[in-house]
Amino acid sequence: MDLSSVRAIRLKRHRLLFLALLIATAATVVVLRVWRRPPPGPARLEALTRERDTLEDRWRDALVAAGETSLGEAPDADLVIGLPATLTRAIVGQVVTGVFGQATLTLTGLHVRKEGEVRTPRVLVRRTIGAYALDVDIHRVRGVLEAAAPALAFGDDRVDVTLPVRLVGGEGDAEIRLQWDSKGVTGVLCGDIDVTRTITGAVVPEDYEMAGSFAVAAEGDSIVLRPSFPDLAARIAVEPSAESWKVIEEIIRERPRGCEIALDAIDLRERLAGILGRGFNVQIPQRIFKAIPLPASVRRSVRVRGIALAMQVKPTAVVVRNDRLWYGSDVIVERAASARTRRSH
Amino acid sequence: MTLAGGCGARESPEAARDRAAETFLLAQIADVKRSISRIEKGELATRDRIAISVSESIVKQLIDATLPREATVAGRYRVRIESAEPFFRGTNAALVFQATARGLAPGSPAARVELGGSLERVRVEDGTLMADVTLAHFKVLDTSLGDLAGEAVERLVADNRDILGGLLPTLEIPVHLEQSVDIGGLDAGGVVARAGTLPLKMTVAEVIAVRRRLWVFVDAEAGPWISRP
Repeated sequence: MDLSSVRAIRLKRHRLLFLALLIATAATVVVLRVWRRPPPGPARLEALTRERDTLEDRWRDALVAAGETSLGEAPDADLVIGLPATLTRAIVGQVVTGVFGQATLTLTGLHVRKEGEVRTPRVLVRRTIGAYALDVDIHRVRGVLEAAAPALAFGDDRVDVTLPVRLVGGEGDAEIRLQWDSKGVTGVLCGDIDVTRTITGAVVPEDYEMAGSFAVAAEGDSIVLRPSFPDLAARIAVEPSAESWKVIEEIIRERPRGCEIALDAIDLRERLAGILGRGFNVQIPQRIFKAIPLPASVRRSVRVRGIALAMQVKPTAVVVRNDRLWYGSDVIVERAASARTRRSH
Repeated sequence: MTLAGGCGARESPEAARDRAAETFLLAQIADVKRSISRIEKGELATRDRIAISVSESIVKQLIDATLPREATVAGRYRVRIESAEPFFRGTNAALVFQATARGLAPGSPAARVELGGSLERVRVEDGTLMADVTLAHFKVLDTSLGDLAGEAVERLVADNRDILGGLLPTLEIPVHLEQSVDIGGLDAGGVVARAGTLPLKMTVAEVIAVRRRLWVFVDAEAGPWISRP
């Protein structure tokens, strides 16, 4: 066999080998293309569905364990909104402290009169040395309120609130008029007095506590906290300023020395402090608490792709728990035009 | 080779559907496991967030009310979306749309097709809870067009996904989230309380679809109080 014959045989072998390889590759491609893992049967799909459902139950349990304690009590409805107690607390707290933080109590046109007779001390023969009349006309007293963070307790259908309120201060001004009608020998030494002076003072701080509740009510498509608090009877007492006490002392010092006994017996300072310090009642009406709408509600209409859709919303339940306030509504969606037509029939 | 590549018989719609269901279930199982793990590690905290739970039924009603809608794809087929079916399972907010595709020429054969999508980008816009519907896949279920034509339709749709995506609505979930709480004042009997506003800031923090419900957890920040004169 010559060299060219050997080369021809080798070439032929190579060609055959290449062809076999080509056929094998094509066959593999055909097999891979035609043969696929068979689709899953119903049993496989059911098992996977069960596994997914079981895991979803575990997901829910994990959420409850993580603090969503009332999740199982959420209403069974198409649309459920759960407001966290922390948010309700923040809203109620900031609203009531905000409203009270700016509140003022103002009294005007108050008049108090004290009058009486002054007698000599017991060691002497008891004699009337004069009669006095002290008129206090309060032009205006303005007290300023402040509220601290309220304590909230969540009940079945309400939120109980205890609100510390402080009358932090304020100021007022008044006119005092002292009339002295001397009798007997005092008349010679002292004479009659009729003086009028203006004084100012500061409102005496006082602490109060307001206790009431907000009823949780579904109103329309939202939840509203409706207040129920009694009126608060506050008392505004005034402490005359240092300047005012000087004015009072000047009334005494301006008199002849013989008057001191009589005026000391009246004890002007004590009587004035008594009148202003006892204070004046002010009713803070419960209307100062307003209904608080909670910030998530169900809409009555939406627009999707420019199409107006109307919602028939039927509230199903409101559940108040320590961790959340839940409310649920069933909803039927319809095109707004058809809803209008239906209503007109 | 060309012959080999083209000779793969198209699967029956049932087989294709079962295969897709298996893939979907496996993905759901993995996703729920991941979500449970996040809760257990404290990475998924919901307690201080507003929880909004929406049933599949509402979403179906909302989308169905805007259907049918149709569009022409690549100047060759008219696709008409007829109805929607939400599946809120396994942390996936999936939507399956039933549609038909038909050639533009009169009397053209029709194919029953299925569009798969999901709810994405759930957000609060001007106090309204909104979500986008995005298209993930398109499958010809049965057709009088033949296997090859069915695959051609699928390829055309895949290449023109945006056109069909444009048919899918931005969903308004019928929940209103207030951006402030306004409280009136009082002027009675010497007691004056000023009106005010408590601003609220709401942001969607988590969206989880489980047990046939879409759960949206919203971060809400209240305050500070602003008095009004």
